[in-house]
Amino acid sequence: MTGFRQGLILVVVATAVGFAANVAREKPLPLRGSLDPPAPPEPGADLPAASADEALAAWENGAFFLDVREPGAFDTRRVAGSYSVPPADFDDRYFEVVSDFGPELPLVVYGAAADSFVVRRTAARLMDLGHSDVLAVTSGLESLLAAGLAPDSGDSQETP
Amino acid sequence: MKFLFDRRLVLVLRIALGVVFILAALPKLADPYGFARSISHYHLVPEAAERVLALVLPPLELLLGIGLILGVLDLGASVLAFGLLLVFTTAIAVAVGRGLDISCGCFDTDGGTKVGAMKLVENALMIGAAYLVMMGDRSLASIRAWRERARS
Repeated sequence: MTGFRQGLILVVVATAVGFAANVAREKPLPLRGSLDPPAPPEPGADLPAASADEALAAWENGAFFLDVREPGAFDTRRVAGSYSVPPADFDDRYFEVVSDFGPELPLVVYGAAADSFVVRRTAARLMDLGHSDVLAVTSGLESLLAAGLAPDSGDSQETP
Repeated sequence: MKFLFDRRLVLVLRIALGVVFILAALPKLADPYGFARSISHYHLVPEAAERVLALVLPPLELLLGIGLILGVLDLGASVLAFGLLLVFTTAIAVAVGRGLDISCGCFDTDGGTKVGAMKLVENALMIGAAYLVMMGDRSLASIRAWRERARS
């Protein structure tokens, strides 16, 4: 009986100490839910998507169109007058194509319909570089062409 | 077999067990998240129970260790040590039986010894030691025994 009573005292004290120490911790252990911290939001995840019609209006106002798809897809079909800026070559292509025109240059970023994530991330990078007028079109190349933008093919327009 | 319950042997085992429990408690106290993950790898108890165990077991192991070394609440500490070791060993045996390739979470919350036959042998020896401490004469170098002598 003494052993049971002493054991109970130890368990009660350990429980009190354990929970009190947890409350005092900077990052208490939750009693339910994930143990892993939530993943940080992807760059550009909160960026509003622009419609194809907004992109068409931007085109008429002289915006630069940047295509984030891989060069092979870009060469096959793209918006006429757009420039290839795939994420892997972003730094090189940015300084070759975009940076000389200054941060006021209106930019439209597009890709394939499945590339919305890459489009948003590229748009976010451009905004981080100081560009204030950036539209992220996540509905894909075909929606732009359907809205009335002219298609083009071949590699003659990959660079300005 | 009487020599197994020799007071000096019981003292050595008591202190050794106490040190083992304290060494087991410290990394878990420092990393409750890691310990909760270690418990979850066993898939034995619901999530809420895993979290409660992750909070309660480390201080309990620490208190047991201190109690065993100092000879304070030493009967309760040795009974709990014996019981906890039985539970831990059963959990490890179940994990081995299920073929789980997991760390035991005994002395480390990140990596550490994998569950397996060696771990079971190690735990069996500790269960034996805890049994001798629980059933033996723990009055040598014990604050409890010293206080009892002082009273009488």
